[in-house]
Amino acid sequence: MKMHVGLYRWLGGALLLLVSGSLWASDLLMVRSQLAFPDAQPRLEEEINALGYFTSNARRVDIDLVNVGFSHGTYRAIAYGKPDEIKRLAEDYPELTPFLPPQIVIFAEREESLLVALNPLYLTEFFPQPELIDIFERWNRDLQIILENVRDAR
Amino acid sequence: MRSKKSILILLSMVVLFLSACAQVGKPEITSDRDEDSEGARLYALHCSACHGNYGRGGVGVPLALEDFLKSVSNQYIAQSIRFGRPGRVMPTFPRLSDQQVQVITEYIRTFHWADEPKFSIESIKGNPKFGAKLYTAYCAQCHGAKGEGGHGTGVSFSRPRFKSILAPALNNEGYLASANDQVIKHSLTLGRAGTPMRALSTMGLSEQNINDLVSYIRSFQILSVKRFEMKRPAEAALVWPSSHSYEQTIERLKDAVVNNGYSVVREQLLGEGIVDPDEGERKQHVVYFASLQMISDGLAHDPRMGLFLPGKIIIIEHEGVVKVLAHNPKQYNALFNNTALSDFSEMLHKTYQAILLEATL
Repeated sequence: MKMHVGLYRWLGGALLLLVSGSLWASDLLMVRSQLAFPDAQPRLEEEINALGYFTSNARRVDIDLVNVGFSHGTYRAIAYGKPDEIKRLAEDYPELTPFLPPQIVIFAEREESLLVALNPLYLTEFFPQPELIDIFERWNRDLQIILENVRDAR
Repeated sequence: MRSKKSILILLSMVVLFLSACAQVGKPEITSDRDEDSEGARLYALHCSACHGNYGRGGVGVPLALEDFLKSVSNQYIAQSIRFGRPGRVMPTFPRLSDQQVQVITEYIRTFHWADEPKFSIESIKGNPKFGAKLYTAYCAQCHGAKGEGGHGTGVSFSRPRFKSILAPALNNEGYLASANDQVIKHSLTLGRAGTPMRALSTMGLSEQNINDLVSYIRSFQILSVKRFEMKRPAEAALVWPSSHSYEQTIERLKDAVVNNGYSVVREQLLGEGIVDPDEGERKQHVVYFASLQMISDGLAHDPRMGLFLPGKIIIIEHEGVVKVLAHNPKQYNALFNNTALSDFSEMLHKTYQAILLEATL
């Protein structure tokens, strides 16, 4: 059943991509979700997991932000990946490790949330190996689906 | 007497702030707005992440200000979408067709009841030298000594700011290509209600003075061509071989972080939480480091900088060789389309180099 939900999500996301392709050509991918941060973060993790990726514990970006004048500091980074893939890539391509695992950052903006990620295709310029290009392209497709789904969640 | 003056100033600031909040926070619902239109769909897809739903602003400037929409033509909006603001976060949208740009523009126009103003295309002849003096006296405080604009982006990352928007960069080639002389003159003459931009016509400046200012602002166009060339570095990662063992390098690295004025905020195996820790020995260690200054400066320059904050350094042993790696901060400017990050990325690059050198030597 869980697999079916994941499949439907993927198909829905793939359909969305057909009508919104040009957005995803940027080096940075960014979407606004109408979900408030406390709802948006778990929804993001759920969407990542639905595509078969594992997520790490959210990493805090907002270390002591409130103490330096920010009204609040709700800012997290969620790293994700498939265990075997991350392990193998780190072993076979050590110079890629600063960009592993891929991550999505999420922060509150008033009652909404913003999500930002590095477009995996950005890395093709620096890591042109065919095997890596295939992986970056898949990551890009999946990332689009994840971001689209969180953006459209109500 | 002095305290009365202070109270008056304070009250005006509060009124200005509240009026800005009212303008930006609650865009007027116009009967023309069709949320099912192609313009609404494209706006949601390409613009709302930064400019907010209904143009309320966010990382990007608010577009739903009534006075903004009264002061710019549809052509200005369309050209801004086309040219973006090089070096100021706002990207270009080369893949959007003219038709798509037009429907987005028409949708933005519906954020407020405001008829599109019509401007002539006639150039304005003024004295840029005198305009430069006026600029220093009336504009530089907000727009910067050389028209570089306020620091940061839009209303930015949820931190308290008195001003509803930051002063735009007048020397930006995207702005100068979008705004003709008459649009600039209109904004200078009448100001922008709901923002700190005051009407210069009410501050004793004659029409000729304003023409001089327009000529001076237009002269930025010649200067700005080279400024926003942003090159990516040849390498995305900094890679340093270490002459020490894996374990020694980790310890040396942590010492180097502290010696350079930063704190180690977290250390873990690469992919912790994703890769099973019991699945064989892995020599892939990650050290996160930061200082309060580093985080707050980075996010103030660009709220998206959290992608690379806190700092992250990886120590690996690969085929018997120990290496220390980090992403190259020199790519930030081009990646974020934000020249305001220049000094910050340069500082971080030096920091990474110093830490890596000390850890590996």
